[in-house]
Amino acid sequence: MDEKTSDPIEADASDLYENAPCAFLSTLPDGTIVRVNQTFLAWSGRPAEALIGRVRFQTLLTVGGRMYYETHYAPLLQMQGFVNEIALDMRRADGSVCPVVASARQLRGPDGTVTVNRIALFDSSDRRRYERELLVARKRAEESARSLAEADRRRNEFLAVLGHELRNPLAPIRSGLEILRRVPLDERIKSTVTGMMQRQVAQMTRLVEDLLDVSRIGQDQFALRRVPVDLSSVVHNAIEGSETLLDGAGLTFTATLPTIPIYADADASRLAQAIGNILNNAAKFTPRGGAVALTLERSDDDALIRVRDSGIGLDEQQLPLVFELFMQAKSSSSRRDGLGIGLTLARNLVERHDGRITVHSDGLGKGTEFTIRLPARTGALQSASHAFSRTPAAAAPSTPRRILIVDDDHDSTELMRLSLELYGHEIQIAHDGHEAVDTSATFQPHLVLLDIGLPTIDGYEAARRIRARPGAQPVLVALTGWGQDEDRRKSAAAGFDLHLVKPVDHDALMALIAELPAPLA
Amino acid sequence: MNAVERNNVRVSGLGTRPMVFAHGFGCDQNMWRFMLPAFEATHRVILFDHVGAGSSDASAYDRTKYGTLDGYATDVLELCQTLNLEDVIFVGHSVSSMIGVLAARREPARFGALVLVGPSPRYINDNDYEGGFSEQDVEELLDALDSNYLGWSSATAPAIMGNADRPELGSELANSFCRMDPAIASQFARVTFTSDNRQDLSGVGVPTLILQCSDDIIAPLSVGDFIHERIAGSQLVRLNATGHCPNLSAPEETAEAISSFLRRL
Repeated sequence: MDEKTSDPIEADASDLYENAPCAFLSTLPDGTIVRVNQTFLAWSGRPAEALIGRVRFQTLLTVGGRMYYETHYAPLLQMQGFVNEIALDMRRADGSVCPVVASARQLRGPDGTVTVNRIALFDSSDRRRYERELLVARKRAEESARSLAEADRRRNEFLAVLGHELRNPLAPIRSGLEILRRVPLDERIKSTVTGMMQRQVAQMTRLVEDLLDVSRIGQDQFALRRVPVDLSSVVHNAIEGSETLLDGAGLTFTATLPTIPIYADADASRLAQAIGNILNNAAKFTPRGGAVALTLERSDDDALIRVRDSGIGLDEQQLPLVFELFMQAKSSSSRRDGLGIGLTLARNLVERHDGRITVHSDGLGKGTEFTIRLPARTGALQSASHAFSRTPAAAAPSTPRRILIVDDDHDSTELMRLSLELYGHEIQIAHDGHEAVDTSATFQPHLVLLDIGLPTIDGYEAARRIRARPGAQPVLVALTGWGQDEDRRKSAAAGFDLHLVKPVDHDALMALIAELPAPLA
Repeated sequence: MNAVERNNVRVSGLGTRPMVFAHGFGCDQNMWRFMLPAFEATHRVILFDHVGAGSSDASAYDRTKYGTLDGYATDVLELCQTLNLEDVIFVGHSVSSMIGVLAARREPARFGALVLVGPSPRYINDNDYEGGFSEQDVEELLDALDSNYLGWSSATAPAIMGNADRPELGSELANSFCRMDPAIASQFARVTFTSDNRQDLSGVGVPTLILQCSDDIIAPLSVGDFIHERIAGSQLVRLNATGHCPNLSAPEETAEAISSFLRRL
């Protein structure tokens, strides 16, 4: 047994030095390596002979590491006699990088001069990795905080614009009511005032419908009912919806439609809405006397719908932003009435049809062109027209019916009674669910207009009970403020034939009544 | 805020002729501590910290002003004006040697001599010019500094957590010298290592001493020759000291080289 191993403590200390979980090295003041432990040799991938007396520690670092060594580590060690926890990158013999944290101490001889530097290196590969992750996480958090703040700012701007837009129609409606209340009924005044009120209410309804659409899109609750449709008819419907706005803006409007029908799988009303929004946008941003042109044509396998206007145009900064939600609200120079959601909706609707919408402008004052590109169906189709049939604009006088109106709001029921009685229908009214079921049994209505949110039992339950009774069944129409797909599914399941969202369009209701199946007896 | 407070100016020494010592990237005025005994008996010694370094007023840091070395040269001149220094011996280490060159070009009358310790007018190689580093090397250093892969490991804490609420995390506790806000350090590094002052050398009309270490990775020997050729009448001395900081590793040799240069002026 030799002397070295005879002392277990000494043997242990020696082993601790050589195989410590950190690398040790001793260098001369200029960095020349004079002693290293086994751990260091393993990390650096070099034999002791290649290092001792031959190599300076700093030359084993990466270039960046060595620059840091010369500008920070070495001066600091010389100034204060030690350095603690400095991150450096060491290069192994195979060229790979070993991230380390270095701490060092100067040792001085009896005359005070530095004789040796002792350095301990700790492998910081894992630590470097998680530090990197934390830095990335911080950057991400900062970015999302920024975009949340931006979204918040936009929402506040939007709410301000929304308030303004919703208040605008209210003032004329209120004055109209005043006039109707005070002025003795004169047919001319009455028709002027009610016409004005009708337009304002229509405007508000449009705003609110757009809002609901945007929120549905935001919550991904937006289902399309796509069937093969003739795009010319869709375009025609869109034009019809925007006619008042185009005419009112004093614009020349032309539409060029193909002679051979182009079919696409589309939800006719939603696609018409998208095209209508583009047309409305053109009407808004084209000065009086200008022109708006729509063309529909086929391009290989696609259908192209172009809307070109001679309006105020867009500059390069605005172009990529026009489809952003609430953009309109932001730009004060070219602000027009509206919420700035029409184009966002249009893009979303087109994309849900697997299409693309693009915008082009030669610059400010040079007009704008929107292009909708949709995959077209190949080959012609017969009779697809049912998909876009519209309710007649005005109802012909129809057969008198028995109609039960159920709503807990007395004003609503009274108003509806008045307007329906004008057409000769027989009306009864119920204000809660039980009353609705009972009256339905005794009154035997052809049509029940049933509110969903009712006292005692709700509209769904009332519908189920009406359906559960034997005998002739009325047409059941749900009247509600809720128009989400989920609401429609629930009302269908409860036995309703139709689901109408309030406020109900008067003409549409008249048309519906006119189309009721003929009374059996 | 005057230049004296802003740059944490310290004046000492028994002599009258002013010697202004300017530290380089990575340090503060403490790096001159071993050299001072050689000059305090005979000169008026002026030490200062560049804005952002040491105990300078970091609130004076302006990214635009200090986006070029000229901003630092302005501070040197302001400091000389505030203290009414004339016939200044300017001793600049590393990047501060070029700051001295810029200052001496702008106000030649203010300076009596320049001592450039480990100078380099451009660190990145450029055709025939050998600065010692490829563009990639410098980018590696700058990236590593930006991301805290190199340097005080404690500097990672404020980078991750932000140091608005806990400023004590931003200050280096164990390594008491060479403090620098990491964001400032990273810009200073960029300004330093991407600078190109080769055109400025020929305009120096002040007696100049170039001190170079053997085996200095930051400023290779060829760089010393380049400067020596461009500054008319300059003197080039190669020290036995190795590395980039002879003022720390070989203060006596460095001081003696400076003294003998000054004696012969």
